[in-house]
Amino acid sequence: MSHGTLESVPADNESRLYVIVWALLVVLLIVGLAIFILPIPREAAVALIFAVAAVKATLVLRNYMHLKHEHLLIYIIVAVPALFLVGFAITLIPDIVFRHGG
Amino acid sequence: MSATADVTRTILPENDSIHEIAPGKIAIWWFLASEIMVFGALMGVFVLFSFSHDFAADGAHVKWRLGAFNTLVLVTSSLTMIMALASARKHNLTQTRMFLLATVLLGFVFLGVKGFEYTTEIREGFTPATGMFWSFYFGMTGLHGLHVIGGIVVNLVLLVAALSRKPWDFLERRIEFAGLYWHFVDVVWIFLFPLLYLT
Amino acid sequence: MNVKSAEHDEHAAGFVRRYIFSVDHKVIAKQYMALSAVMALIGGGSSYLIRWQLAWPETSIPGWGPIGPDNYNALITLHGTVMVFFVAMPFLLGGFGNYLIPLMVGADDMAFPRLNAMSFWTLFAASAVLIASFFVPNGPAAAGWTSYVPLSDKAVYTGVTWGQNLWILAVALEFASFLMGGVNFLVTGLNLRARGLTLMRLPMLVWMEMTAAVVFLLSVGPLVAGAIMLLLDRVAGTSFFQPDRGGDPILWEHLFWFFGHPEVYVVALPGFGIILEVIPVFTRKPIFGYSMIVYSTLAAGLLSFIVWAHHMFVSGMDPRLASPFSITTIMISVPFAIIVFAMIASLWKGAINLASPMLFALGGLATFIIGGVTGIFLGSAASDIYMHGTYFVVAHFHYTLFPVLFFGGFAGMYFWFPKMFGRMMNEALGKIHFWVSFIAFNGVFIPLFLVGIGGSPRRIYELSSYEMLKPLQPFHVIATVFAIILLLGQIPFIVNFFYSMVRGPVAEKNPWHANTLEWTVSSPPKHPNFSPPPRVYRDPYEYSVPGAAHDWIAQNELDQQGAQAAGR
Repeated sequence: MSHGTLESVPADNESRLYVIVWALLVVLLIVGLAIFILPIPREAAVALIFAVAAVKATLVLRNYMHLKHEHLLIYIIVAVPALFLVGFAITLIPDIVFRHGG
Repeated sequence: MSATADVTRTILPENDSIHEIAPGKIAIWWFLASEIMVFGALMGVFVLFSFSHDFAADGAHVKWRLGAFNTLVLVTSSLTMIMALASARKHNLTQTRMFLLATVLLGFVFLGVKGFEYTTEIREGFTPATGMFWSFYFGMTGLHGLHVIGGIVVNLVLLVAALSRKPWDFLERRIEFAGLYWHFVDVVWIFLFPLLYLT
Repeated sequence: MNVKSAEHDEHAAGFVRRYIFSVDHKVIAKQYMALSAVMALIGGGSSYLIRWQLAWPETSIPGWGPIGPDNYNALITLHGTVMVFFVAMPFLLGGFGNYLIPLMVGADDMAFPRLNAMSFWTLFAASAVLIASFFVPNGPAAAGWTSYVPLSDKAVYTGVTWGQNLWILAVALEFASFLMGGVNFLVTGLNLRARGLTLMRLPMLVWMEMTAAVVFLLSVGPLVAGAIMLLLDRVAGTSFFQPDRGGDPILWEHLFWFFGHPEVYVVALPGFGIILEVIPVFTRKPIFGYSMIVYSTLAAGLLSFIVWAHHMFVSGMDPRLASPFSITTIMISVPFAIIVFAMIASLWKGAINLASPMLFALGGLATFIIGGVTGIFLGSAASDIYMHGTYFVVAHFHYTLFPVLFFGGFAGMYFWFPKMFGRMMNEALGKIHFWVSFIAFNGVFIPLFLVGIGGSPRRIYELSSYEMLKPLQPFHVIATVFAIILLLGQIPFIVNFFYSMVRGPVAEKNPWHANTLEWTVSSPPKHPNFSPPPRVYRDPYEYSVPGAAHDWIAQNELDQQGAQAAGR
């Protein structure tokens, strides 16, 4: 994980990669908007839109924020709060969703 | 993130891979982790509320075309930011300055569009006090907007540093850390946009 | 090797740079301690007013005058906020953490010295905002240190307008301060360790401070989000917490306690760390179960995130959450029991020397056990529902935080005073301080357990107006008398502190014959701390090693015979 630091990537390839990632992000933005506009059932559309958003976020995190070159410790620093948040949100379901929804 | 360069003595235990990470990098990710918790909690609560409240009716009034344009702006600013870092690594001063300036300008474009949205919505009668959806909408985009402003300030400081020809190692490291923050603000928007505009 | 940076040349700098806006971790640590001492006077003073009102309601308080019901609410809000956020954290984390982490890991300073100074001055600003909130129109915040909504959400409920907003701002600044401080703790503890100082050779206090910093970071985010929502509700007309407009007041309690419970451990762990540093030195034997304590600490840190709703059994939250949270709460007593048993086992067959630091450490251990055991009653939903709104909770809470903050903190103060100020403290005054405080503390809170079980509700201004509570009033009087004794019992310490600072016998490098790296440098340490950088060869608690020349071996000591005897 920590091997192959960014400095070892040739500079030209590096810039090209960044532009490709940007192009992908723009394409995914258009895909997301298309899902929004096209007559797709709402639940499916929402799921697809957030799947697209997750892919976009992963692209930025891995390439622009260099997460794919980072030490395990950095992954832990990012992953643990995310996990806690998921747990926190699940715990709140009975109180927020059921109370008002019921 | 100020004093990363000041610690030059890092004598570490043998066989310990933690020293491969620059201290400043742990610091900036630490800061981002706390931000993940703040934004994540807000978004999580919003999602939960969306199951028990009718957000769709209010959500129809946000200007999704402007939001989509702003997404494009912010994604592009992420590209210019990372290109600024790539240029700094190549020690190309002109390009570094140019890309930093582009990032700052795109940040201002984002804020301008956002301000236009706010004005239109408030004129149409949708204020933070209108209802639950609008509470979240103004709360979350407002907090995100403050982060954009913060990022612009940081990038302006770096631009001034680049204009006054600070040493490269100084610039590289700071542009990398500022970039991490700026991309994070972008990631937050990548989730906020579908959350508030598309569902 | 030891490249000098701008900070390290500050000897030549002026008074302001050296003592006010210093970036030296030792100076910043003392600044934190001084700030927490000032805030402790405010917090302690407020407890005097609160206790007097509870014992002799609506009488004129000597030295102050009568307080009304509104002021009472403001006082309990102030007491909780100040003691947790502006005394406990600055003292145990800001003070001891800053002073000792670099010294214990063999570093010359924190990883980010300027960030460290910024952290302190942010806290200073937070304190100033909190104090300023007392002088704004409509008075200071009066919704409790938990600022429960809807009480804190609309000005009409408490009549407080800007006071509550400033409270939110002060607490937010305090969080920002400790996030900056925490990153220093973690990075210094991980990245600036001396050669040979592996993770499992770190002194316990460093482990505890690092865990506390991580726990704080991971828990505070949702409350920051909540604080933003609360502020928007108050100033921008949003309705996050207003049930009549679709909001959810329980949400605030979830956001608060998701932070609030881990926060207890943020304060408790450094206190444990101090006690664990003191015990081996005054028993002349290694800590029992070092690695078990480390793993228990990490486990407790992890578990602290899934117990928060035990504060909310009576809040009206979904009752289906009660059992899971009861179970996790009982679970978290396991790692703490391991730590406490390890402390007790560390005493076993030790050559116990009851000097002041050790007395305070043992006092902290003894009282914490009571706090832990009474926690079982409150962790189980069935019994908590009866006791939650009573003084039992007040007593339990004080039995958990007082041991770590007061006894742990003073154990550290007496223990490291020679290192910090280069002089020894007076033992006799230290012992008086301990025994008066120990007896008085128990004298305050044992009666409060009793009135709690008797059904006396907390957060009430005037208890004696309830017929059913009248028989309990004598206990409140006893508690108040002891509270006054407890406050007066701090005078010996204040005298001792200032007298010893100028007139105490000069301390040598290592007056307690301890092992960890901070005792290998002069008292007080020079700037930079270590020259040349230390090299660590051993565990932190190698006392009474058979065959060694002394009954202690410093961590950086290369003694082949001792090393072989210790089986290395």
